Amino acid sequence: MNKNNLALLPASLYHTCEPSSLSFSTTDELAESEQAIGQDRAIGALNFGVGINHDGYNLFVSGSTGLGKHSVVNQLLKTKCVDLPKPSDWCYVNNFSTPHKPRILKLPAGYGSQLRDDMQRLVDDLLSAIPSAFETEEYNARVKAINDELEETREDAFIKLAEKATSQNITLMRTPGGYTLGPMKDGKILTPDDFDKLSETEQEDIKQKINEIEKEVSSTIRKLPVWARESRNKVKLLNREISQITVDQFIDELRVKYLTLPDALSYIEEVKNGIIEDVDSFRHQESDDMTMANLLAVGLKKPKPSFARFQVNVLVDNSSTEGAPVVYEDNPTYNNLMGRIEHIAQFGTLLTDFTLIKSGALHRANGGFLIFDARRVLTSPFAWEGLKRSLRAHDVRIESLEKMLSISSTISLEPEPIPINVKVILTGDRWIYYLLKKFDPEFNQLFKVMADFSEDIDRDTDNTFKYSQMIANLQREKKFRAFDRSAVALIIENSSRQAEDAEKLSVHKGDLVDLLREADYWAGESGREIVCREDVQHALDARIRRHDQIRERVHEQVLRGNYLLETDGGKVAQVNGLSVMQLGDYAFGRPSRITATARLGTGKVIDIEREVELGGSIHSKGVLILSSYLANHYVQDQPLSLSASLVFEQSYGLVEGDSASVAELCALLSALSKLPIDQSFAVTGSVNQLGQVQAIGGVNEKIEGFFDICKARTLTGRQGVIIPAANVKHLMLRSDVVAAVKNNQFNVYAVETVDQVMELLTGKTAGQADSNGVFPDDSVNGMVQNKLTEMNRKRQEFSRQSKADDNGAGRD
Amino acid sequence: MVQDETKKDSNRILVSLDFDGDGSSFIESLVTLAAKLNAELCGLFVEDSELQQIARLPFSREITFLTAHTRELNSVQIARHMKQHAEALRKMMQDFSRLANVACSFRTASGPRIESVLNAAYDFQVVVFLPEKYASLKPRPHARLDELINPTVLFYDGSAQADKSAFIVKSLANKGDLHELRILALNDDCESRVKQLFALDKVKLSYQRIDAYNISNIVSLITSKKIGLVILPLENELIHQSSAIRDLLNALKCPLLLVR
Repeated sequence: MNKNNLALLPASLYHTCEPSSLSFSTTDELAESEQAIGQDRAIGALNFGVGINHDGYNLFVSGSTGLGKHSVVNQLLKTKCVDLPKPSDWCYVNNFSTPHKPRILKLPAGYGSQLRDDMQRLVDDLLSAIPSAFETEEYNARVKAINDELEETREDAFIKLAEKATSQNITLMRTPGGYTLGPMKDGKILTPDDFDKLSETEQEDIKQKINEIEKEVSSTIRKLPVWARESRNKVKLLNREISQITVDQFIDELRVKYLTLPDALSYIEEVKNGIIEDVDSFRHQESDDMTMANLLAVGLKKPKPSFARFQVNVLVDNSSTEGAPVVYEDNPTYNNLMGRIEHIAQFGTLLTDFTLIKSGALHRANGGFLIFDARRVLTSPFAWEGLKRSLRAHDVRIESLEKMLSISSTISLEPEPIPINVKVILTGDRWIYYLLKKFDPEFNQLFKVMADFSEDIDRDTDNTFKYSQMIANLQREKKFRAFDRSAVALIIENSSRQAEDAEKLSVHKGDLVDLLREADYWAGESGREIVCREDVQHALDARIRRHDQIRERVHEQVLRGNYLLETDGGKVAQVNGLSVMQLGDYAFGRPSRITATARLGTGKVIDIEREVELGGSIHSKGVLILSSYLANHYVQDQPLSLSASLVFEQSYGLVEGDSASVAELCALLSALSKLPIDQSFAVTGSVNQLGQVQAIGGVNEKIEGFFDICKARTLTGRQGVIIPAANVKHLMLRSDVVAAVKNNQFNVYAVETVDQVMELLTGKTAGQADSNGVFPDDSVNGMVQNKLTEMNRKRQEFSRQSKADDNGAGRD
Repeated sequence: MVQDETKKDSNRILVSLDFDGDGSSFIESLVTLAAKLNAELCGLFVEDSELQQIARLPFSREITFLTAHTRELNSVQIARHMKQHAEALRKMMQDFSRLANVACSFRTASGPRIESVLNAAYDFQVVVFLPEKYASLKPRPHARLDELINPTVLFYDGSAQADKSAFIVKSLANKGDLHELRILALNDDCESRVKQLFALDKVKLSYQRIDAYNISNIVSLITSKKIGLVILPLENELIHQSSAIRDLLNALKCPLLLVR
């Protein structure tokens, strides 16, 4: 095999975007365009989900952060909502019959605040009108007449009793706690001595008379509360009459204004009755508070009467809303979604009323759309369950969480639920969608539309132009300097690098905006009016520079010999593998030495990483495939009689993924064949049981990681990285790597089979098996096969010897 | 001028108080009256000896307001209750007087109520008797002075005491508290004289002739209408008798203001 056939040409290592292929000089020349490129599937789903008006057709917009999901959804809703009807205002008002259950009032948009102002004005007007009505001479005279009547009735009753008593020489007198009766003679009260002087008959006669009158006094006292109640009722009726006349004058105006709104009319009627029932609180204002008795009782001064019960709590005011509302709730907690009932502390007690009910996002979005982040709602206690309940029941019930959880026992309200018609749009990562789909049966019924945003798009001419337009749009939107086409070309190339695919463009808007912003900054630093390629490169380099301290340290450890890694010469059972370290949003390649040992055994390949629980399950799977490959490839009709160990040398963290399985297999084959492996190479790729090399991730970082080490030690021209052929389309290598390949200082080889890798690593032919499955002796495979056969033979010998020993011992 | 004269003529007012519930409801108005007249106010609480006499009888009982049931009447308990009531009234009077910036004093006496008050009245220019009522169960709401004194009935017999009474009435009218005044003039001379005295705006005035100054005449003229306050000269022999005052109070059912 000629290894040059496997070496990739520089052109394959980087998919250049030629500035000359772009049909503009700067982004200023590009017209506005649709912002979301390559999101046809998601936009179609959004249009469907927004348009369909049936239960459960809420939306889940999936895709990773930075794809521009929110802006696409907002833009789409902006155009859709204008044509939708404006929703109603929603108010909470006092329930005059059961105040702890405030009732709702649905009014056409704009009427809520009007009614609130009208009610406030009504109260203000009545606060002056009602006291005036009750200060008239006529009213005072009528009240006085009622009170005098009561007093006369009571006094007359006792005067008659007193006269009756006097006629029998008995006096009726007041005591601190009631009345007493005493005997009189000649108009004077008898002393105890005088009484003793009376005959027994006279004494008994007096006692008898007193007893009889006592009964009458007692009977009269019992009538007093009845007379008082009758009198109070008369005053109440009078008050009602006066207040009715006064209140009607103001209420009539409101009746005319809200004639077409039956709900409002009914509420106004309730308010009227409420005012008439509670007219006393309108009557007793400042003047009464100024009596000396109240001034004395400063500490116990009664609170001013509150007229909050006549207020209107406008929960949702749509007076200035255009079309259907679109609400984005940034913090979708239970209270922020469902609304809450606030309390005020008064003398150590928590009090509330319907005016302290606050709206939630569901109220504000009623009749329109509510957008929020799925992860946030799922991590807010009770929010998800509350949301589902509301969507199922089509209403929002404001319940205090404290009460629900029995944390607080304060008296709270039970507001009437508000019916809702809202379309919820959840945004979140794809895995959240699938988790919910799997584990929450209600999710399937409530969120039937998935709008799945693409992470990348094909890098063709059309999309490249659209991508340029997106850059232009963002540049204008964010007020950046214009980008010249060389800058745009580099951004496009970088986008492919972000997508880890030379044939794709990443549509992560968040990352793109950051890059544009940083390039704009560097252009400003350089005093340029237009952002050019150098500025973009500067931004990319500076970004790497800000993050690559750990990479530098790791590479330094290799170069100083702390991490053992050879980049020249040959070594048996030792291969340079490649791994990627991901630190936040920065990744870099780290070469590692993979070694293998092989000895006689029972066909078990030990993954040392797994044994010490530093290997992930996928890595272990890759290792297990190796023993299967060995058995299948070399000794199909014999037992595999080897025991091998594989290890990532000097690896102290978790190893995951199967991208090192080719390298591990090569180390094992070298250990068996005793063929030295050229340390100028690093290998990456996963292998299957058939010996085919499969694609892996992070190919660019891996190549660059090995290149950096080699470059630091001087490029020999023999060094290179072996990658799966399937990864060639993913190559977007750094310019210095490409330049080194161009100058024959470094190589990248694309392979499809393990045989190709072994040929590159050992310089020996891999060898093809004949019809009996036997490989040529001088080939890599032949040497491995011979070794395995020999191990099998030795094992059989051991087995026979062992049996013979056992039998001999038995005879003895 | 009017102020000065009223100050001179009415600078000490004696108010008769007892445990009868009305006392406390009148105190606020009386303090206001004293303030308007720039007078010093003195409360006299009389521990009624007649009641104590009944309480000492072996079979004496009390029918209570709250339950209408009878219970034994205990003279010691009655005495204690009276003292407690007197203390409560004293405190109330002091509190109201402090707020109204009125000089105030309080004393207690024991004996028949009216006689005790008349005995104590020798160095007071004005004596106020509160009405005796059977049926007042609790203090009425704190009435304003103008609610209490309207309409006022003034007996004018041309005496020096009647002139002082006229100055008091005039002062109250000038301060806006008096709206309605009925004047009982003893004869033609008195009527023409009193008409010269009273040329009051904003006060509804009415005159009535009274042929002879006796209790039955006064009572028959007054009780036909509801009256807020009755003002009589104290030095008149007729009125100086406790039985006459008792008869008047029984008939009037309103405060009686006697001017010396």
